Amino acid sequence: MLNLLRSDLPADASTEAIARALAALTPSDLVRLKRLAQLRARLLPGLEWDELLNEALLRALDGSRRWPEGVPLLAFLAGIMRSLVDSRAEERRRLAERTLAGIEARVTASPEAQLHARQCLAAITQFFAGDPDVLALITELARQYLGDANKPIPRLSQKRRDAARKRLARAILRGQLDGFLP
Amino acid sequence: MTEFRDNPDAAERWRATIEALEAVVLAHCEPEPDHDTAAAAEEIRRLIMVLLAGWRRSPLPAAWVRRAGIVLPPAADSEPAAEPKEQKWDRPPPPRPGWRE
Repeated sequence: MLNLLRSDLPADASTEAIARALAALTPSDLVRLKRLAQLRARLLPGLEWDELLNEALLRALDGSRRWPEGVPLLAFLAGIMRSLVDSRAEERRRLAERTLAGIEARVTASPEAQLHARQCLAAITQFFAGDPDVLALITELARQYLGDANKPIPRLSQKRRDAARKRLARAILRGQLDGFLP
Repeated sequence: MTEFRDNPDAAERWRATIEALEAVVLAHCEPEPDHDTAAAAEEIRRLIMVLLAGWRRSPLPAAWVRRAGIVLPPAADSEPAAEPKEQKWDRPPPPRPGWRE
């Protein structure tokens, strides 16, 4: 794994460093970058992963996003993609709110996004139905992001947890999950 | 996962799941991709090479590039540009002398 870290550079030198780091990505990094884009694009129905990745790379190269010191390149690019998707989701949410203004609804996500999310969650559950350890791991990790990590969930031993993490990573990196999601 | 699926705010749950999966991908270190993933790596390499080639032709940040439609005022001490001495091929040719009886 290439773990290039940015040194403290001015803006133009930073984009030069990004260009050099991109050119030096290993095949393993490139696969991970593709899967990161595919995962993130799944948050918005209709968004193409290659369009998202292309936009993120352009933002990194045109200097509009600075590469923070100490952040690995892939994490930096994943952050740009997250930001791009969040902006688009916010636009869609506002549009949905304007559409539903007559019934005074507070919309957290567009109805289309809610339906898509339910379908994706169902697909993940079905995909890993035969591997409860992976499902438990996903649940545990997701709860950390939701801030409700204290709720009781099945705890895995470190050994089973590591093994589940490997199986999950392989399923994602081989593109199996992407082909299974709606 | 069942409770995730049944939660009314599925979008938030799905987002958290994506964050979790992304963290697993970022933390996973496999030395080399296998046969199945080599094509995926090559696809991304091509995309990056195309973008880098474009960037090297114009490495200026987007904010520095003058955009179409923005007209900048002339500098105060600028002089009018001299007419080029070469013949201008885009001008119409002078009219031919008319026929006179």
